[in-house]
Amino acid sequence: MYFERYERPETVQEASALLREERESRILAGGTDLVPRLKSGAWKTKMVVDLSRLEELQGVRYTKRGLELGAMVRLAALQEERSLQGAHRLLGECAGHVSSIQVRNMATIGGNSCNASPSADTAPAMLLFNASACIRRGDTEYLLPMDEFYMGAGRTALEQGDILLRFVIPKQPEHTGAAYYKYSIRGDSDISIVGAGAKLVLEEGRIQEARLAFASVSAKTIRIQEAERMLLGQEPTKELFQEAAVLCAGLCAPITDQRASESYRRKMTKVFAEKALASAFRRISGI
Amino acid sequence: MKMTGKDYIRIDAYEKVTGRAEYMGDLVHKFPDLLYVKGLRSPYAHARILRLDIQKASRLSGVRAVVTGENAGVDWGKFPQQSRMAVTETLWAGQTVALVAAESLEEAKRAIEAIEVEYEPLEHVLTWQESFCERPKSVVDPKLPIHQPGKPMHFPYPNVAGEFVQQKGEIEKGFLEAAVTVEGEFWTEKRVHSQLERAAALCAYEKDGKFTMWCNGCGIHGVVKKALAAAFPQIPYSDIRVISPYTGGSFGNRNIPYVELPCFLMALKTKGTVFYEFTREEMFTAAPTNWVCATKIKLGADAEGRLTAKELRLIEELGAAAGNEAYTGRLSGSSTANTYSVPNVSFLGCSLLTNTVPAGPYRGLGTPDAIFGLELLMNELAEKLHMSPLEIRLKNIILRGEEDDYGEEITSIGVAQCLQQAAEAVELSVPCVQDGSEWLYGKGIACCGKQNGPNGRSEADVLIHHDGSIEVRVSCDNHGMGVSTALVQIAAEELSVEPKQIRLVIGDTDRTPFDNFSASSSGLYRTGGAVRIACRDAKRQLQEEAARMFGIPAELAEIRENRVYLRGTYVKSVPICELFRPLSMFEQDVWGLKQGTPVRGHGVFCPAQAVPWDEKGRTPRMWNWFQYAASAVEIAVNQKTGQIKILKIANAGDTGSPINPKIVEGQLEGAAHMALGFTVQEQLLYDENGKVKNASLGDYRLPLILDMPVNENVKVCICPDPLPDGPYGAKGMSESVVSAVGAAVAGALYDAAGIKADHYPMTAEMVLRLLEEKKAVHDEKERRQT
Repeated sequence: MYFERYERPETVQEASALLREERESRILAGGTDLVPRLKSGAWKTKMVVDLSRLEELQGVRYTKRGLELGAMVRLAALQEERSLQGAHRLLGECAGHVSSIQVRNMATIGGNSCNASPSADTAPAMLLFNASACIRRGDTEYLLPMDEFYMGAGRTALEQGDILLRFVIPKQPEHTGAAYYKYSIRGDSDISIVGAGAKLVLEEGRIQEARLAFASVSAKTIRIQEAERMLLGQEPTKELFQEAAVLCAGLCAPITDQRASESYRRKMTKVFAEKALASAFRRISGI
Repeated sequence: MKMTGKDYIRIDAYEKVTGRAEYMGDLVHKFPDLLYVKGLRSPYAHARILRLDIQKASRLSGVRAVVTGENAGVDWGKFPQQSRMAVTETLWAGQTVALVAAESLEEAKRAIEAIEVEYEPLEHVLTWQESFCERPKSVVDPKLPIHQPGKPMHFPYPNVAGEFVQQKGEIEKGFLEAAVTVEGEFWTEKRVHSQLERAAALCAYEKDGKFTMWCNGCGIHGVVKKALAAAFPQIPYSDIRVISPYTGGSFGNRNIPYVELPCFLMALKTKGTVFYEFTREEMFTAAPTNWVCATKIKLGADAEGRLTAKELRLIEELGAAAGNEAYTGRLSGSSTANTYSVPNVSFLGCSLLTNTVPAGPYRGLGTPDAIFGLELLMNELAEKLHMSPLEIRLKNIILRGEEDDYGEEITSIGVAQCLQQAAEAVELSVPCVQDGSEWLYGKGIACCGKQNGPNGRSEADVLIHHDGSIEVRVSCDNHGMGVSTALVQIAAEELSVEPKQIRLVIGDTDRTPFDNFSASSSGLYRTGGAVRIACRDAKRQLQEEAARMFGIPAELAEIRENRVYLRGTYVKSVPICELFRPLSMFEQDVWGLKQGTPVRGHGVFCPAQAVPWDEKGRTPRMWNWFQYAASAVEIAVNQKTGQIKILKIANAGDTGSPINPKIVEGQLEGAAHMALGFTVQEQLLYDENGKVKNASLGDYRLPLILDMPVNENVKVCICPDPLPDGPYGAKGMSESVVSAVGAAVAGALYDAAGIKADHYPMTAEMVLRLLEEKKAVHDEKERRQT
């Protein structure tokens, strides 16, 4: 593992300047993806910028914008976070699904999104909750919906020099239920064959809002909006969920790789979309 | 004093748990001028090397040598296949094309990247299915000796490398006598041993021109040193010293010195101290795998369930093991010949080449793969005859004193006990309760036997010092299986002392006596035999000395508990240390036992040799002895995902009389875990160029501890049938105990879901496909009825 410079800036401004000054630089958050890639030679870089000193990227708090989740919050900490409210607790659950305890102790929620692995376990929750990324670009900050953040396998909307500061996750309506299933052969330590997330908002017995988000069945984390639309205004039933799950299986775009074949992934998308919907429904409070 | 058959704490326990035990990785820091070796590997399973340019790489900073197959200056024919470098053609993806030695690993890697190679990809065959035909896309070794003109072959295919035939009784008659017959075709897939410590060797070119090598390979005398001497005939035999530090597992993988030979070559080229360690990726792409077995089996049984005929065709797929005549299908086939008594047998086996890394022995030597189908067909026979899988097995197993298919007498067989105890542990006769969920539940059982070849020679030295301390010197492999502790217990029993009084010195060809290797589960049996003889030799010398001192015949002196007990004289007993007299500097005529010169007992043990087989493949002595096992499981199968969950496993082993039951139990548990891994989820996958595409512990699904049933649901049973010629009745045990698990799981799968697996690993995808096929057949039937 070779690089010429290692920097640990104290402020976001300093970090941003460093990253813009050296184009061949990489951000170190938890390091669980960066270090193995530098070691194997898959990535080469001149400078590593360690963000661990930046206070602004820490913390989990509720503001009037909703839940603000610092990009440098470690997955293990998020998993244990008690301040998460209502359906937001799913974020902690998803963090707990990422890899092993050793990895979660180091890896960060921001890193899990910036790495943009199609199998990232926290990404579906971001889409379910309509989260936005708060990004520092040059001297300005802006919000980008997470739907637009993930662009492909390993690709995000971030440009060289950008820093993901935090996620802003809107408060969820009262009758919201959300669930995520990770299906892999060896539990959380393994990479998923499919990750299926569902969120349902119920009003007067009918589905007012539905979201379905999937990991590992496309080049990026995706929503299946046709299935979401199909659920709208309907009364939640087992048959309805089955129908939606069939749509998801048809519309996802999995590949065959060393973990599973394309056709198996599709079948599992159906199985776990249905489970996620049923579980989301069960979790709606007061029902 | 009884020291064997006891749970004595492992002699290496403290060093290992405190981290003081030194492994290969710990040695690196002791050599400040170490050079690092790195290999450039072929990305193609089969390709011609059109151009290979090392100029740029050779000029890079820190680079001390760049070696190619061409400029190495060695006879590659004298190297084990796995360590042969490609010269004009690569035969598997992962074969070494060039080797670099540089002052740092980074510089070595950079040099590798700077080597320019131009390949012309050629057609390849990766699987037995592609290779076993008249016109395979690739002929791996066009010069196979078996393909001589006029020599009739049973399978006249260009990639068939060897054949073996065995016949007993009359097979046609056997099937005529059968009330029921069953048949099927089965196969298994490629896997890797996945030992925790990666293959590594460190070779120092010493000031006096001699070589010292530290490595984690098996058989420091009989494999490593011998292979080095054969490959580098210009180096005198005694100039090579091989040392084995603590090693982290082998499971057969390190029986081949694939890292030692290239390491030695680079030490020779650089005249320096070099270190060559495989990366984890290389452990998947360039280290030997198992060999795959494909079987076609037909069984016949009479109305009472007694086997009347067994017809077996077996293919042993060896990868690119070019020029190897030792493999003929006989080794894997032997495991189908030693468990059931069948009057009429026809066996036809062959070995087959493909463009994958040359295979090596994998724990069980093909037993898990060869008996998979045989065991499943036993279940089918049972079903047809309305018997239980347990009943039909018990009815057919060979009894002690009876013959196996070879015609040799079985002297120790505890498989019936294994079957009964495994069955009891999972309550096999009680059917699973189905709970109406997406999970289906089922139970299964299987058994097996694995031969031990009568090859090899083990020696041991036992030194009894004047201060009463005892040293045992051996060179057997010590990969963590616990043999070192058992050897100490054997010596303690022979000498009637506490084990803690004994120090074991192990693994240094300059200091510890000859041992071939500990393959074939024979470390304890063979080296243990040598230790016993060495102890008796040392005792005899002490007895003789005591006899001289007290003027009695030697047989009236008995050695135990650090004393000599005497009969026929005025002294009842003396401490052994008093037999040693002080030795002063100017003393003359100093015969007899003196302080500072220990009594040195030597023991050599080698089993009686095999007798060549006749034209029917039969002989009164082939395999020395057999270890047996039975496994029973209770599983859950998910109807929606196809996943198998192991709820309970019982692993029972006929280990002979165990020297250390606790260590044997550990082996039984470890074996259950290992076998569940390779029969349910582990498998090497290849891309279109024939390169392994899941070459990491992330993507190769080695089971994790959470994939295993909780401790109370892993039951182990030791069912000894003492081996008459084993040390205190012990025999080897570590291979049979992985071999029946796969068939037990497949049996449970049938019990749970009514689906029949014809190969393993029984992955979720495969099981789901079987479930869907079954449903399709069922739906079609219903459609026709309506």
